[in-house]
Amino acid sequence: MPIYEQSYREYDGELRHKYRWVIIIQQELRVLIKSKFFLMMMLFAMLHVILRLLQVTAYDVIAQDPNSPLALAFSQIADFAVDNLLFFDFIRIQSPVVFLVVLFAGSGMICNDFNNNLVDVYFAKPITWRDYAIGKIGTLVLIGLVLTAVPGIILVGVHNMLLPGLETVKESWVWIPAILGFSLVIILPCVTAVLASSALIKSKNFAAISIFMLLMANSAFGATLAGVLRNPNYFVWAFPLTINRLGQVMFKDTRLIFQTHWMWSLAIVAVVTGVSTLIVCMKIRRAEVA
Amino acid sequence: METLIEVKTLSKWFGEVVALNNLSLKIGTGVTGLLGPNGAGKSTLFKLMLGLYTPSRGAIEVMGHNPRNNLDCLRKLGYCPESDKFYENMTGFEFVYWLNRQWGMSRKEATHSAEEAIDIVTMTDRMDDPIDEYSKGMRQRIKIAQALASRPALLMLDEPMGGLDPQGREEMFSLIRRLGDEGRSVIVSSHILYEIERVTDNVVLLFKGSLLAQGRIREIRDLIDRHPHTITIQCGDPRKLSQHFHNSESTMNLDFEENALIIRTRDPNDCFTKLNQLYIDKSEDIEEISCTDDDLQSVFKYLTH
Repeated sequence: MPIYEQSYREYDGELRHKYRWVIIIQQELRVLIKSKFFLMMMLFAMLHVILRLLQVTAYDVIAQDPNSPLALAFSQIADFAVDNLLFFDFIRIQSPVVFLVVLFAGSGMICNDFNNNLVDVYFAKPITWRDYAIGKIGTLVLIGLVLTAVPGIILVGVHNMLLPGLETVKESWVWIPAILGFSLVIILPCVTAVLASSALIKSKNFAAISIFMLLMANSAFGATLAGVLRNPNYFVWAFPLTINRLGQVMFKDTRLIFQTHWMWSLAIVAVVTGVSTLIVCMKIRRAEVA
Repeated sequence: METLIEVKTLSKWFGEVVALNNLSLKIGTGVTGLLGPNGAGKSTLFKLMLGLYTPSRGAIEVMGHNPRNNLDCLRKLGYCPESDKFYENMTGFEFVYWLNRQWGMSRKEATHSAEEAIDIVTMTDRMDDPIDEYSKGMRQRIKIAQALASRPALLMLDEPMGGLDPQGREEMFSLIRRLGDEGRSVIVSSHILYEIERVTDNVVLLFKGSLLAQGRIREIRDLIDRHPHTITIQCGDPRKLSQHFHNSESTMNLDFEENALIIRTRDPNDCFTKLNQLYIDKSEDIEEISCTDDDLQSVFKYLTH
């Protein structure tokens, strides 16, 4: 008969963090930050931000100064002004970078956990599938916002600081919701689609390739349809252009490529985001509730 | 003895595959061995205990509660899965720390608890190394540390000895025994009777999803002792190694294959003790030990025929 010393005491400390998904976001970010390739991609994405920062500074400090010899030269440059179109173009140009970064960070996020049986380890802890799903989606949304909305809003702030006045505030405050809205329109379908691919496909690389090929095929399909039927409105079926259409609405850009009502574009984005989210949730929930 | 797990006519099937079939049993405090060959339903039973699977039929109660979607119940359980793949670029400490945080601990508590658990599994000196640099034994221990860290009422270890070398197994046996001695309740699964025998004398025998036997290991062991065991040892010099066994009364037969010695013995316990000692002393070049019929197959055959 063994003699047990009975010194063991169960954990009696206070439980913190009602929202465990915050912890999952922190953990995922820590894991990503350890990747040199990820950091390089983020730094590369920041080059564009620096260029725009220089543009805003040059416009506000030099071009607005009537005594500056460069003012006239700057005023000749097309799309140099700090206006709604600058921020629209900034986020539009960031969108392929966002896609690539999210593809790198997210394509293995779920499939690796499944392959490594880490899902069992997670769900053996008192966290729910909702915490897990929100944590994974939240991580990628946060990364996307760091590349689009956050620098965009900072640029608006810099513009207001360099060109202080009520006129600037009145003109620029509307850009902030537009920046945030357009960023989310780019990020949400991208994030959920990448995670859906990661939940459906066992290999990180195949998940990334699949979603990349799907986007290429979709763009080619939209362009072919518009070309064959000789109607640019069919461009709405090309996902990058349909997102672009929503950005144009938000930033009141009149340089329209096609005339299809923006509600169609919103519906397409909503369906892609909704279906992808559903796939992610179902796959995770199935792991928890078999 | 307090009942921790109560399983009532539990069945679980996946499509046409029956993983557990009308299982009824009670598991109490202390260290319990869950024994059965591959496919017996051990891992499925663990997942049902954790509420990760819903029973197809019947019910399971963990500490008097249904574990399904029961976070309060999960807080009292520590689970160490069979698989040993992790985030390879994480350190052992980070792995345990983040799981503690997900469990609901504050930063300070998670750090303290992770360090304490890692110390229990004697990994403190390697806890800041990336997991991909760990040996199989270290991976097993860090997995156990994450299960221990929340100081659970019940610890579930799924095949913790899998893939370990003899020295690693000895360390694992000693760790599990130590956990039991401290008054922890542990359920440890294995398909090798000898492994379970080293950590507890209280076993549950599963076979094809059904309960075959439950109780003291000696009673079950008696069944297998009537049959000789076959042990295959991969080594550099089988003939030299055989000298340690040919005079033993329990040895029935010795066979040689290329770089392998095959021993048929009536007392596998004695044989394993000798082999472990030889390995630890490094007096023989032992590469691998496999127990052809120490996986309970013979006892299962005996009990099922």
